[in-house]
Amino acid sequence: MKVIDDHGTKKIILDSGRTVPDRPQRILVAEDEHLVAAEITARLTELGYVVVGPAVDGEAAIRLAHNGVPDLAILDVRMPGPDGVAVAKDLYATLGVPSIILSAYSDGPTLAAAREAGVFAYIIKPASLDQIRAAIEIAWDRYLDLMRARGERDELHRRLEERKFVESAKWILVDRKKMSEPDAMRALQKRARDTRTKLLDVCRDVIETGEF
Amino acid sequence: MDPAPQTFSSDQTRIRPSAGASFMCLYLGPGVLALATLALAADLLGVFPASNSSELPSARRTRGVVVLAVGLLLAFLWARTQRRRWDRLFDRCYQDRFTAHSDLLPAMLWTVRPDSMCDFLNRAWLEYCGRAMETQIGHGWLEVVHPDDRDPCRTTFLSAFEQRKPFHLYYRLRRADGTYRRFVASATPTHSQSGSFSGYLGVSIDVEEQASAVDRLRESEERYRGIVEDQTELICRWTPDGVISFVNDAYCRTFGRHARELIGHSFAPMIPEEDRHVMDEVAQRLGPKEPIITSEHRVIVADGSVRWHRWTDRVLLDQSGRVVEYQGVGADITESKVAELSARQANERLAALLTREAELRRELNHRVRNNLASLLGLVTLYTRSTVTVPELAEAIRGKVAALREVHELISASSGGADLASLVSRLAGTFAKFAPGAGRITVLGPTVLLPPELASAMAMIIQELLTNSVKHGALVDPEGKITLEWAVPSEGPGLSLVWRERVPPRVALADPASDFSRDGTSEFPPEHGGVGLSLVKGLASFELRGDASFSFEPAGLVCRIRIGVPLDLIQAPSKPSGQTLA
Repeated sequence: MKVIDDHGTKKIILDSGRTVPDRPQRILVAEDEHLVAAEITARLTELGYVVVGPAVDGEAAIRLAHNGVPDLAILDVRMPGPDGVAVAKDLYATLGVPSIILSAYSDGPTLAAAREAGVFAYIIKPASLDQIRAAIEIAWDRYLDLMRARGERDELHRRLEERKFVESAKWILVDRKKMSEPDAMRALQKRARDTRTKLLDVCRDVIETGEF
Repeated sequence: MDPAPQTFSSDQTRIRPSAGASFMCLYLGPGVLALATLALAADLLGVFPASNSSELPSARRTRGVVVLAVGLLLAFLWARTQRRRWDRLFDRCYQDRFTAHSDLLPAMLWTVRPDSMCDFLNRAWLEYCGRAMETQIGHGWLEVVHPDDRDPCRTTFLSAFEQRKPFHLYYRLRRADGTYRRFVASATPTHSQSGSFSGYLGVSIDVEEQASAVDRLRESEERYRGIVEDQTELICRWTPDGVISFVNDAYCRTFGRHARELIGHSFAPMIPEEDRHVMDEVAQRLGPKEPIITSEHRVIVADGSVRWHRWTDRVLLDQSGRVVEYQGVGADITESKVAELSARQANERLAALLTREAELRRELNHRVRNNLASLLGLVTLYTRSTVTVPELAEAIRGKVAALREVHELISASSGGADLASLVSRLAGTFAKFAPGAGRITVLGPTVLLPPELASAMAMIIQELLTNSVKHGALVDPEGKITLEWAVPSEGPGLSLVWRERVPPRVALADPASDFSRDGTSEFPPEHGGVGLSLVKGLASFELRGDASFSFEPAGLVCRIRIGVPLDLIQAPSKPSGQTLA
């Protein structure tokens, strides 16, 4: 995950390749009740966000998100078509868009479904301006933290795989060239330096050909 | 010549001399006599030529024949006498040895002469009775037989004697200490070597222990039977092919049949057809691995009624593990079953009520919160466009009143709001602004709108009425409104047309109206006010349809389409009209 400065605006490039602002700007709203949708749209506009939608149902929400990927989504739970939980799961899986659930339901099963879907915040209707703002900020921070942790995990996984690769090549030399373990490692590094190739490529060549 | 006397004692094993010795002992003397007779006769008959007797040949011959006959007769008689003496001696020896050996036996041995008199009882008998041989022989043995057993014994004994057949006796014998013990006697007729009946040889065996065991077993069985018969539970046994082999009284009473009517028959007819599979499953499962199974099923009892029984069935196996029989103990559990069913049904009803209550609470919370959110939305919507606080208050009051009417209507009905009634109620709230009769007419089939749709429709109609009162048909005392709806020929939902008719002299539009026109026959959305936005938004979101407005020469026309399938539409064959106000 990298932070870049794009003409005075901070942007974050996630390891998935997606570029997001340091704070969300475009927020998708999906709500099947006109007055509530109007209210949340007005509140978000008041907070300085650009509202995508509002979508009248789950299908419309997914369609709008794919037409122009929002930074965040605020979804009602009960909507015609796919419900808010299903839409949240879909948006995160396909576009990496985090979601906040906005619902009048606060019962256990609904909360559990939202938790399982991996939503980043849950707001109970009717929500005040402060509640909406806090939920958005916390959800966005949690999302970035998660992306950062996921990037670190992927990096560690990659390094571990490379290490296994180098170890395999080294033990081939130890076995076939009767070298000591440090000598084998030094020989691989020297070959990389001499041929101006990456150590990983040298190791791959040794593993694939069995020759050094 | 007498045979050599031989003495046989109990410790001797040889009872008869060898064949050669026997021949010598028995027949040596008669043989010598016979030979001497033959020699003398031969001499007299002149067999030997050297004889030169002066006696006449005929006289000598006669004397020779006589000597031969007499000598051979004497030899024969002598040999027969010897044989008889030998047999008597042998019998005596055999008797001695029999006596000696029989005394060694633990069982009682006795012999009876052909005249039915006992002539021998072994030591076991005498010691048991504590009597001497002399007191027991003859018919003296009957003295130690239990008085109650004497006559049956004597009868059996004499009857068998007449027929010369083996017989068995079962009697009690008095021991030396005066106590009686039970014996079983078996006797078989004996015969001499010549085949003549020589009496009986009998043996009596003490069976007191076995008899006591049998008594105890019988008593145990009696007790067990008493317990079984006195049980209020039903007890039965049946063979693997389902045939009853035993039933107790309770079983008979329950099914109103005698045991003999049940034993040997299947009990299948006493179980309702639909429950017979229970018994089949039990029979299949019962075995060494699952020896006891409890099951519940219904039975048809004596009065024909159906009762519930709980049966604990057990498999009875033989020593090789093969199923011999099944045994079942059953109890009537109808009362408890009925109570259990009632309790279960009550629990199910309670659970359903609790679930329903939770759902209602959840829905109530949802509606209250949604209504509050909608109110906030309304406030936000109107705050952005209205100029004064009274206008804002009036707008909010109108919408809240519309929602109240919907709520009242839904509360009074079951699951929906009748569209005509809804319009009527809302029109009623505007009666003071639009006096006169026949101002508003509704035309269409009876439609029940779900609560969510009813709320949206109420706000739409309230908005249209507000506009009409302020700027439309209801401004003029002769202005009229017609709301007509119909089920569309294609697609779901409902199509509604709000049509205002005003006389030509009335100015139709007010520049301040929410629905002010821009000179065209249709209003682009961006040119509408809050009311237009609200109607279109509600039609688009809640009604899943759309709304369009147009000014026709007669007045405003609003077309609304509900896109939600309405299952509750009850369409009469011909739409009926109704004048509301």
